Amino acid sequence: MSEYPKTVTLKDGLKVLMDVKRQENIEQSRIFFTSMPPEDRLYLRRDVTSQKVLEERARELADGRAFRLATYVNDEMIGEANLDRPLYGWTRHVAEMRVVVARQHQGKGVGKALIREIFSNAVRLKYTIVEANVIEEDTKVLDLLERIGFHREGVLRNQAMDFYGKKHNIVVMSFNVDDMWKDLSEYYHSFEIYKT
Amino acid sequence: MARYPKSVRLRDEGVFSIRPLRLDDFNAFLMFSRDIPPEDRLFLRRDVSDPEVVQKMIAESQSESEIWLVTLKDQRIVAQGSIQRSLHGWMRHVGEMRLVVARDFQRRGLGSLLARELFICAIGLKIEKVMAKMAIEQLPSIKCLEKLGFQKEVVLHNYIKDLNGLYHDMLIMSQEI
Repeated sequence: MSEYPKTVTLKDGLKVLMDVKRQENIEQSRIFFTSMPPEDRLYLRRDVTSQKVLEERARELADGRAFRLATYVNDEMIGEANLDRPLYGWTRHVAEMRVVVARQHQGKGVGKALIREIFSNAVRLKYTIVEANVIEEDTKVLDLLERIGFHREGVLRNQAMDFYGKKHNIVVMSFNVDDMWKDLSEYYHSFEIYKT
Repeated sequence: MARYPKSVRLRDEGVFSIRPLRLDDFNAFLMFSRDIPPEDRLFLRRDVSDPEVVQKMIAESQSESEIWLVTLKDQRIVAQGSIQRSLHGWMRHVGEMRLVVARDFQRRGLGSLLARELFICAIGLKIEKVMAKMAIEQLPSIKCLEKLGFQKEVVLHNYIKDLNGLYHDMLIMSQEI
């Protein structure tokens, strides 16, 4: 964790500070979430404007059920990446990542930087599978995840309903970390044989 | 919930009662949970052998985002099932069904019976899609849901890790209402 906080320069020269959330700043999160337009907020799983949910989020971070990164400009939080970390049960090796960026900072590469960073943290935390659920029409995010090495596990039909009541398919994207290490070790093994 | 309690007679098995889980079910529910063999217990999301977890589950079961039903035989809980959904967010129209039947009462139709009841409750809550997750090897559960009209939707590779650390594929089945 020594690499945090760090400054990330985005494509238009915008410098953002990226840091690990060691504890939840409820007031800061409230400002971030309540300033989001309702139609963006709908892509979140919970009513993050409610005090109860904000407190639950703080507990998740405190007891290790979540790992979070945030990006800041002039101390204002402009994006958050969340890793759900199940502590028990049959999917305890699967971490789901989610990223949210403030409307006025979308399209600047904040989301991309957060996706890459939260993913590398999931690998560091030794999860076997990293998962992302993406709306089928969100091709930019799907392409980015595929470039990182995620693959499409399948499509859940009509799994998401937007602010206007329209339903969308969700693509379940996953990255198998064990397979990556296996592929890498095979690659290096072949390389060694080639060298000799 | 006005339809409960409901008595159901199963051929050769006698009479069972189905009703919502209540706050005073703590001891019966804990007993039911602790009787689940460890290998079955791992297919649950939480450690239901822990009284604190059970207490929390029962409290949560009273929330409007969840429906919990239990099947009783002579005051003993022999099956429990739930439909859980989020009241907010992009999946507010989706309910997830979960079912557990006591080992000594499996393969008697109790799972199908409870699943049917939960499905009716889901319709009442205006849930538009019901989904269920299981290991791809859980053939009786798959057959039971297929009989209710569920379809196989997605197979997630190695999404389940059992007690021995072995990976299994997870099947997601669903039915749109």
